[in-house]
Amino acid sequence: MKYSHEELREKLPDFARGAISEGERSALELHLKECPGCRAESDFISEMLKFDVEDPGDLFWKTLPQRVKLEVRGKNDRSSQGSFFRRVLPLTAVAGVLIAVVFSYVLYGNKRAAVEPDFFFSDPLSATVFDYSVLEEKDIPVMTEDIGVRDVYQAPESISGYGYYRDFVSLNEREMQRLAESLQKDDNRGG
Amino acid sequence: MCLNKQMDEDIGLVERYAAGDEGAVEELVVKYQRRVFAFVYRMANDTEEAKDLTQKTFISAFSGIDGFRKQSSFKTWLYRIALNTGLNHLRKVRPEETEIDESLVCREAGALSSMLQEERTRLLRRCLGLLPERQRQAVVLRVYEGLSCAETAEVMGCSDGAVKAHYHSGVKRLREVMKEKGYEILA
Repeated sequence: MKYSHEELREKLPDFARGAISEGERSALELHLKECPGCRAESDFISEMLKFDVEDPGDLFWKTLPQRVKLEVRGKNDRSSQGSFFRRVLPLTAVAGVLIAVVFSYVLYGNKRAAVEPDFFFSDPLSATVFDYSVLEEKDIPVMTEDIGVRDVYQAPESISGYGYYRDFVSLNEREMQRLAESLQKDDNRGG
Repeated sequence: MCLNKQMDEDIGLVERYAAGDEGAVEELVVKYQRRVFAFVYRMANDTEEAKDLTQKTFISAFSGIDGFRKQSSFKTWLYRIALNTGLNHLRKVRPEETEIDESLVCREAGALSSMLQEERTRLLRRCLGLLPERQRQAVVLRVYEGLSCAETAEVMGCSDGAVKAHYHSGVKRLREVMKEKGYEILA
């Protein structure tokens, strides 16, 4: 087989180490006789190969495989522990959030219970304690404009059933009449 | 054919390891420990550092075995890890040594004429260690580790052409330095 100068030059390291086929060796030996550049480079590479590597000793060679095996095993164990935590951590976080939500709900519920109206000291109809959602239409009080004040205040006591002015303010009949007139003037607004 | 057989063997061992057989680790270490040691030794130029780097290389390789795609050979993949491990180490411990230090060569060359072969090889080894990084990698992988251009390119992460350029520049530079200092290998 015919080789070019470049091809043979690339084979010089293998030639110097003896790692070359018989055909390539013959071709290179022929080439080296004719090419001083390749010959010088080949000799230089052969010289370089004399630089032996210092031997670290049998103990190193014999123990290295075992040491590597143990180190790799340890590293894999640590890594698998790490991946276990990586898997478990999100679940733990979700569980933590759920616990926090439940806990705060319980606390919040207790707080609501704690602010239940104290009928001695708080207004039971206060918006802060009154749950309007449970009201029905029948519970909504009739507004005052639907009631004629006259009906209330001017109707005979026996009919209206109200005796406020008479019973508590102690108005006599004439004073009651004047009150009714003034209420009428004021368009029954009570002003 | 022989190369393919070796690749198949290595891939078989890697698969055994992936399947949980730790014995495969030992087999692969025994198979490649001398080559990896020699390679990192030529980078670090120190036996103790080379021992440490060899162990680190194998540990990195087996810890990151998922990164081995089986598209290349295990050998070149391992060399690549050794190269990166060695480079990271060298950049940490001796960041200043990246180019040939002419003053160092001159100092050593002063006594060159009276040195024995052992000392001349020491000088050459020193010069090799001080070549520009890529040139040194190409020379070491091609000459000492016996990797082909394609394999060297794979380890170095560059093209075949770049490997050839780095390799020939490195060898040329070494020869020039040695010649300047009175040490020339005559054909």
